[in-house]
Formats: sequence, structure tokens, C-alpha cells
Amino acid sequence: MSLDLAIFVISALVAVFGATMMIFQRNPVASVLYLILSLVGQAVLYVQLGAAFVGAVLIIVYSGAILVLFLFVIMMLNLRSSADLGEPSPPVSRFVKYFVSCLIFLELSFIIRESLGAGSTTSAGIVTMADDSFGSVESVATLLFTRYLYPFELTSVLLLSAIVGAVIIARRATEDELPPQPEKAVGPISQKTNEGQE
Amino acid sequence: MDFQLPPYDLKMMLPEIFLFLWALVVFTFDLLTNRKKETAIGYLTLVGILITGVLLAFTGYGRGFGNMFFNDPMARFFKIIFLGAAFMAVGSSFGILKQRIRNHRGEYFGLILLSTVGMMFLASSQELLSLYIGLELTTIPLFVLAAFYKDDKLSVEAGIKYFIVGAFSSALLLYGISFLYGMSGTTDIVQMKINLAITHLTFTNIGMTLVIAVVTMLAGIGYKLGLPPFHQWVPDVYEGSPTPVAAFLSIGSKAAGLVAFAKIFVNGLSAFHGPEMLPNDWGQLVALMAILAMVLGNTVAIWQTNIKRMLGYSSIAQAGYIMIGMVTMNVYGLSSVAFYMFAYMFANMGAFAIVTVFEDKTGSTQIASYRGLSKSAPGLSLTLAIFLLSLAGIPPLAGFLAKYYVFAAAVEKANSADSASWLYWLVGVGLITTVFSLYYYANIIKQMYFSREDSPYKIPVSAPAMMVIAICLIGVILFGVWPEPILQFAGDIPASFGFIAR
Amino acid sequence: MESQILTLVTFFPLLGAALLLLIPKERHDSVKSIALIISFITMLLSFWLYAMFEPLANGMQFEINIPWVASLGISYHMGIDGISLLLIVMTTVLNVLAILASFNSITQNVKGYYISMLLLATGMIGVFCSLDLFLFYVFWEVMLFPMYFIIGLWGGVRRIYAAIKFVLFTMFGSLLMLVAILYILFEYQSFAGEYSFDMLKLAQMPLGHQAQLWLFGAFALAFAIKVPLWPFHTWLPDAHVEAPTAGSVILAGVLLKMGTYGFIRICMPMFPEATVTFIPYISVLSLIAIIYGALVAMVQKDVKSLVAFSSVSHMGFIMLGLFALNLQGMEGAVLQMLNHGISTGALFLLVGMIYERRHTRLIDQFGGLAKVMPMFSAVFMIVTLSSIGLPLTNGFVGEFLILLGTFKANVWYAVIAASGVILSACYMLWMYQRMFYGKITNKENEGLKDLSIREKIIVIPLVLLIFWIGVYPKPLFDRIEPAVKQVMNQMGRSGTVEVDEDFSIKPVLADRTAEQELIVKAEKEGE
Repeated sequence: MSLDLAIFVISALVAVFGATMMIFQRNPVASVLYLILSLVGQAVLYVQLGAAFVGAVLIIVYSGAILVLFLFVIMMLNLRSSADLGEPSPPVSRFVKYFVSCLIFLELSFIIRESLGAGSTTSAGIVTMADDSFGSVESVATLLFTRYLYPFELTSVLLLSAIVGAVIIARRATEDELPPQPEKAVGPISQKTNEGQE
Repeated sequence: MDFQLPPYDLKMMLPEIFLFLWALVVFTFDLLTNRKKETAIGYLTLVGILITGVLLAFTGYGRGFGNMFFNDPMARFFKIIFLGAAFMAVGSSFGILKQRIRNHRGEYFGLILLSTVGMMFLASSQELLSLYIGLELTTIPLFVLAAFYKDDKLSVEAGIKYFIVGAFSSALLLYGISFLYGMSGTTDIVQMKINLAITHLTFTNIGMTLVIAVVTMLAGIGYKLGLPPFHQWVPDVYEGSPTPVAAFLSIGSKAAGLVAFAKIFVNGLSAFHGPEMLPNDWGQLVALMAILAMVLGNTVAIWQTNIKRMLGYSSIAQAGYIMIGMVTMNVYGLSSVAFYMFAYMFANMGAFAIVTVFEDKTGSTQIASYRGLSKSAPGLSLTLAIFLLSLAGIPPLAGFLAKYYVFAAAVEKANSADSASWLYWLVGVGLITTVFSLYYYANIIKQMYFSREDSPYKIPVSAPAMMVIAICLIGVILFGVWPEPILQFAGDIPASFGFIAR
Repeated sequence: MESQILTLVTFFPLLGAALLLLIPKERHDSVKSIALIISFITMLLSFWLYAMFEPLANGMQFEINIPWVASLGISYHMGIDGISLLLIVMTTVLNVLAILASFNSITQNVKGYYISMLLLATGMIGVFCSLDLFLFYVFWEVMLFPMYFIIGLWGGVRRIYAAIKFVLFTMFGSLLMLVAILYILFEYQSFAGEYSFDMLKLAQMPLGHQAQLWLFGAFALAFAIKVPLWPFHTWLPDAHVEAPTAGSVILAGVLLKMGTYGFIRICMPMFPEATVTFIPYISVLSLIAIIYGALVAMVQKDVKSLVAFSSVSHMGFIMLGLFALNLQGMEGAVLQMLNHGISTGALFLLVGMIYERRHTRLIDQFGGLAKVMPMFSAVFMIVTLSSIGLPLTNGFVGEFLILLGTFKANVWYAVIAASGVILSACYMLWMYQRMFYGKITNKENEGLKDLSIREKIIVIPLVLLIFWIGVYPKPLFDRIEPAVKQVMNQMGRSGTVEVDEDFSIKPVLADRTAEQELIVKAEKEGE
């Protein structure tokens, strides 16, 4: 029990610390690294809850793939500090950010309070799935390839279309494929935007 | 461990599988012909859609993969709309392929087909996970299609905007779905409906959790449908994307959003509709969005100078009218939605097809360029006028009957229960804004006809575009005068959602 | 063939419009002659209808009832009584004359013009034929856009403004009507257990007082905009002044009648109680229209807008007669609907003829026309007198009956309305005097040609009609009276209003006890 508690406290603190430091860092690279730290903390929490699969996915996919990709982009763009990111956002959109964050915080704390309230398994309509194997890699895999086979296979079609799309967007057109100089549009709006491009 | 697959029947999803394979055929054909045969690819795509339609006609009702895949009347009806929209979008794309899209022609058509496949899977899904993936499969190809003019900043802007909005709205939707899963412990919509009701009765109040789920999912689907306050992307994306893609967006993507809405809200959350369920009632929230859509779409459209932007705002308004049918929740509600979408498909695809043809020749989408068109292209002007009048809801065109049916559904509900009398307000707003809409639709007719000067443009119409326009014209007139078969087909839909005639 | 004659009359012009589509647009002459032939055949068909119509018979004739959109209860239900019959005949006659009158004045986009005219004819005849509320609405809207094009494409300087104003006003009214139609549909469903738009069936449905008031209000607004009743008339002068001659003729002759026809066919039978409640309001608005229209007409400088405002005044008379709710008033009103179509139509035609010669319609540009154009002046005189309502002309019969009916209903209304008659004599005759008498002050008027043969063919039938109705209106009354009585009986059927022996409508007294009610009912059944 006490070891459980100790692990929980430590990893939770790590997760919160990482998230906080991520916000306050002025160097984007450091920011991303702190985010990875936070994710690792969260992954430990998931594993502790018995959801080993989610924990593994969090580390492999998020910290392993996505955030590394972030790092690539940041380094390629050569961002040293937040000053490289350009103008600070206008007060209105900053207000929106704060507002939405507060909203999400309130929402989550509300739900947690609701689910703790009655002390037992369900109160806010949260139905718990009391099953030891729930969340393990094996049970997830079983579900994925039996019951949820259909959405799983559907995902492959989705991935195919995303790949095709990415290729189209990213590929540079060769000389003979470029359209001939189009007749210029007549209307005022398109003329205006053309001027804006120069 | 004993693994067992749920019973499945691949024959059930034969049209979808065929269309997916056909998309691959289109990709490959483009490669094999060295990307030179643009017309042939177009016709190949059209043939594929036609064959899928035939397969669809021979696919009966039924289930597969447990409850996950479900061919009900609504699925069949909307699949026809998706295929129709795809067919017409492809048919009117031949012009831009010659002029503006010099590479990736196969991918252009293939992505349209893949998006259609997504819509069709979505229409058949009876489960939140596959529904979500279907929705994603619908929209991801559309992001790429919107940005297909890579040398045009407006198009790229449209693509990026649509991508960000689309990703954000999908995330919101998924967030809401996760709450629903948390509360009901299942992703099956019918099971979820039962579980939620049990939980609700046991604890008397599901509480704020459901409100959060409803609001986030409404926002997510609201973005997809372009319902205010989530509509800002619509005019920009319509203006920037290639015109046939904008047309496809306005019908296919909207119909897909409607199906998702119907499945999640009208079916899954049907218990949480009505004043006795306050504050869990989503009906009035949607009604508010519909009112905003009708007022905002119809008034802002009046000031537009670009016909694609105008059609964008008009599609916001039309979404508002459709939502009247959605919140009605009676025997007529869903069938009126389906019929509206069906009639709207012909009018809107037809109008966009003519805008495309006009743009191919003149390069302009300004309303002012249509001045005097009735003299240089009388047939095209008359046809466009008919499509616009159908959009405005003038009898005896199909658009009128559609509007009428939606209003009739709402009045029936309002008349039958005192607690639903707020629907009268919805109908009232709908009627008044219809008058506004007449103003801007008639404005284009005015430009084409009432100007004394001659238009310099002679508009050539290619054979496929001609075919699309002719189909739309026949649809708009025929289903205005003889709607009976479609109405009966659409009349089967509410029964599978549990709305039985009194 | 005979059972489908209404379908034939209604859709024959549509067929003609489709035929015109096939003709190359450069061949103006063949377009014109085909349009004329089509409208002429339609007129002959309507004459045939008139000949076969059984006068003095009750109920609807030539009924057709085929399910159309069965799942929504919509049927293709047509049928006519005397009122519709006469309006249909008037429509087809005016349509021929209007097409004939456009031969020289319309030079641009000729084909489109005649197609619009024929579409318009289908819409108008359809409105008068339909007995299904939905069908009625469809035809009501169908004629909107051809008229929009006629005003907006071939009209005067401010034609676009006038056209859009016309469409938006009418559309607003008709959408309200649509809601009311929807409401009635579901009321009827809960009353009879089936969906139906059948006007005859709907008229048998009892409705609560409150519901009647709302529904009457919605329909009445739509119809009042069309009539137009003061203060909804503002689109009318614009539309009339800007429309081409034929457009004005059809607008004044037929379209305005659709409003009053709607009151008779829909408002009165379906909402009798509300009709009785609304009598004072509508009567007062009609009186205002009569006086206001006349006064404004008096100060007009343009002949065409003078005639337009005189229409407002005359339509006020018709509404007053209708809402006298007795046999004389209503018969007079129905007859006056025809008369107004004939004489105002004729006035617009004549104004159009002089406009073609001089390209102006300002009264002070004329003077002494009687010397150069004797024939034209004589015809103009006859029509003017008919419009004023001189005995022996058609206007007299109608106005006299309206005033008689109004007098029976409310003396003061009659007195005020009678002053309107005097005013109308003032402005019409003053206008006539300024245009036709005195010396020729303007040189351009000296060489004007008198009526051509084509123009004579246009005016002579109208002049004959003016005198025929003025001297021997009995055949018309034989057809109007049973129809009016039938409307009144429909009103009485609901039990909230009663029809007394000499056919005038009274509300059932509120303080009558249930017992007395039963006695009255028993008496009625005994009859």
C-alpha cells in the first residue's frame, strides 16, 4: 500500500511538474522535453491503474513519435526562444486560451468530485468496468481483433487516404505539371488577394 | 483463449468495399497511363459510382459485425445522396482538370471516392467508434481536396483552415463520445441509449457530465455542419476550394454530419429531449443554433459579392432549416430531413455545376460577372434561375416541398404537445428568413436577366457537366411535381429510430 | 375529355409555353402568333366551360379528385362554382387582349415575354380552379415569378425596384399563409383522423375561436396584400407604373382578384366566426382604402398611377361588399370583381395605346385629344364612365349592389362608401377633361393617329362587355348566386354563425342557453 502510494505521489508530482515547467520555459526545445517528462509521469500512473496498454502507447506514440517529430520541426525551423515565434498573440485570443483552460479545469474537477462523491463505484453515471484483465495488452488486443475488428479495419482505409493526401500536399510539382499561366480572375476580391501575395 | 469474431456478412457492405477498391483502381489507372488521360479517369470514376449505386440497390437491410454495421432505411437513403453528390461533383470536375489540376488527377478522383466510402460507412455505423472513424474518413480526403490548387493561396488557405477546424471539431466530438462511453460503458448506440436511461432512472440525475458531453459533441458536429456559432470557416473554405469540391462539401459532408447527428442525438440521446429533461435537453440548444443559422446565413448572404461565398452562407442557412426537422423528433422529423437533403442535393449541386462551368470559362466567381448572362447563355441562365428558385423554396420545385415538409413536421409536433410550442418560433423564424433568402437568390437572377447590357461570355458546357446539370434539373422539377416515391422511401426512416405513427 | 376540362384549361397555356421554347427566338412573328393562338384556344376552352356549366345548380362542377402526394394528404382536386367560372373566363379573355396589346410594345426578348405570359395564365387559372389548399398555394406561388420577370424585364425605369418589392411583399404574405395551411392540416388530422387539404372537407371542421382568429389573420394578411387593402397597398402603384401595359392589365384584372377570391373561397367558409369578428376592422380598412385611394388618385400627374390608385379605391369597394356578409353585398362584390377587371384592364390598355404614341403618360402633356382621336376618346369615355359606375354600364350594377348590401349591414359604412363614389367621379372626369377636351396645347399631339384595326379588336370586346353586363347581368347572377349562397351555407354549417332567411350572416348570440341552441338546431334540421 505504502509503496503504491509513494509511486503514485512521485509520478503525479513529476507529471504536474513537467506540465508546469513546459508552460514556463522560454526555450521551445526545453519545453518539449519537459512535456515528455510529464507524459512519462502520466504513463506510470496508467500502468499503476492496470492500464498497461495505454501507458505503453503514451510512451511509444506520444513521447516516442509525436514529440520527437515536434523536436525535429523546432530544430529545423531553428527556434531558439519564444521570440522567434513572432508577435505575441493579441489579448483577445490570449483571453480565449485562459478561458478555455479554466473551463476544462473546472469541468474535470467537477467530474472528479462527482465520481468521488458517493464513495462507491458509480454516482455521476460513471459505470466502472471491474475486470482484472481490463486495460491489459492482451484484453485490448482481443477486443481489437474480435469485437472491434470492423472499426480497426476501417482505420486502415483511413490511413491510406491520409497517406495519399500527405503525398499530394507535400510533393513539389514538376515543371511540366504546372498549370499554364491562368487567365487572371475578373473580380475585385481575387485581384485584391493577388496583390496581397506580392 | 477462445477467440470468436462477431457474426459478419460482407455482402452487406459490398457497395462500400467495391467503391474502396475502385478508388484504388482509379489511382493505379492514373499511374499506368502516365497521368495523361484525364477524361478517361473521370469517366472511369463515374462508372465506378454508377456500379456502386447498382450494388446498393441489390443490398438489402440487415446487420453485420454485431450491431456495428447496420443497413437501415436511413443508411440506404443517405448512401444514395452521397453517391449522387459524388457523381455530380466528379461530373462537373472535368473542366478544372483540363485547366488547373495538371497532376494528381487520379488522386483527385480517388480521394472523392474515398471520402464517399467514409460517408457510406458512417451512414451504416451503429456504434460510436466506427461512426467516428467513418467521419474522419469522410473529412480527411476533403482537407486535401480543398487545398488541391497548390499554386493558389486562397485554396491552400481553405485547406489549412478546413483542416484545423476539422481536426479541432473531431477532437471535440471524440471528447464528448468518451464521456458517453464513460457513462454508459458501451459504444453501441442502442445499448448506450438503454444504459443511459437506466443510469438516469437509478440516480435520477445524470447531472453535469451529460451536459458537458452534449455541449462538446454539439460543438463538434456543429463545426461539421457549419451551424453558428461554429460556421466561420464555411464561406472561406467554399470560396477557396475548387468549386466541385465546395459543392461536394456542401452536400456530402453536410449529409454525413447530419447522419452522425441523427445517430448520436436523435437515436442515442433521444431520452434527453424535451423540457421535462432540463437541463439535459439538447433540443432547445439545437433549435437556438438553427435560429442563428437561418438568421445569420440568410442575412449575411445578402451582402456577398462572390457567388461561392454566397452559396456558402446559403448552405449555413439551409443547415438551419434542416435542423428544424432534426429537433422535431416525431414520425416526420427524420424523413423530412432526408427529403430536404435529397431535394437540396439536386438544387445545390446543379447551382454549383453551373458556377463551375462559368468559372472554367471566365475565371470569375463574382456575382457581377453574371450580368446579362441571359442573353449570351439563355439556357444556362434559365437553369441556374430554376436551381436558385428551388433553393429559395418556390413551388412547384423540389426545394419548396422540402421546406414545406420540414415546417410541417415541426408544426405537427408543436400542435400535438403544449410543451413543444416553442417549435412555432422556429417555424416563424424559418418563414421570415425564407423571404430574406429570396432576396439574394433573386439578386443573381436579376443580374442575369434584368441588365440591359450583353454579357461578353459565351459559356461552353462539356458533355459530363451537361449531364450533371440535366440530372439536377430533372431532379428539381420531377421531385417537386412527383415526390411520392421518395417521400415513401424517406417515410421508412423514422420507424427504425423508434418513431411510430400514432 | 369532359371530365378533365379543368386540367385542359389550366395547363393548355403551359403546353403553349413549352411549345414556344422550341421556336428560335429570332422569329418574333411566329412567337407572337403562336402565343396568340394558344391564348385564343384557351379562351375558347373557357367559353366551352361556360357553356357546359350548369347555372342555378348547387355545388362544385367538373370536379376532378386524384391523389397527388398521398403520404402528405395532397390531392389534385379541382372544381369550379359560378364565381370561379366567371373569373376564369375573365382571365382567359384578358390574357388574349393583353397578348394582343403587347405586339408592338415588347421588342426585347420577345420569346421570354410570351412564355412568361402563358405561365402566368396557367398559374392564375389554376388558383381559381383548385379545391385543394396545397394546390391552391402552389398555383398562387407559381404565378409570382412570371410576374416578377414581366415587371423586372420589360418594365419602366424603376422596374427592378418595383419587381423586387412586388415579390417580397407577396412572398411574405404567402409564407404566413403556408403556416396557417400547415396548422389547419394537423387540426384536421386530429379532427378527422386523416390528412387532407380538401377545402370542402376543411370547411366542415369546427375550430376554436382563438384558432380561427389566428388562422383568419394569417390568410387575411396574405390576401389583403394581394387585394391590396390599405395599408398593404404600397407595392401596387410601383408595380403598376413600372409594369408594361399587359402586365398592368393582368395585375389589375386578375391578380388582385385572387386576393378577394381567397377571402370568399378560404377565409369565409373555413373561419366563419373569425370572419364575423373581423367585419368592423376590414370594413374600416376598406373604407380608408376607398377614400384614400380616391384622394391620392386625384393628385396624380401620371395617368397610369391615377388608374393604379383608383384600383386601390375600387378594391376597397369589393372588400366592403364582401364583408357586408349578405346576399346583395357579396353578389355585388363578385360582380364588381369582374367589372373592375374589365374596366381597369381597359383603362390600362388605353393608357398603353396612348403611351405607345407619345411615350409619356403625364396628364398635362395631353389636352384636346378628342379632336385628333375621336374614336379613342369615345372608347376612353365609355370605360371612364363604367369605372365611375354610371347606370347602363357594368360598374353601376356592381356598385349599386355593394352599397345596397352595405346599407343593410351598416348604414354609416354605406354613407362613407357612397362619398367614395362621388370622389371617383371627380378624379376620373377631371382627368378625362384635362386630357381630351380643350385646345390642343402640345404640338406633338396634333398628328396622333386614331385606333388601328388591332387596337379596335382589343377594345371592342371590352366595350361590348361593359354594356352587356350593364344592361343584362342576369346570366351572370344565375351563376354567381348559387355560389354565394353555398359559401354562406358553408359558413352557417359550423353553428357559430347563422344565415337568416334572406341570406345575411349573423353571429350566434353568445347569451343563448344550451337549450335554446338545441331548439334552433332542431328547427334547422326540420327545414
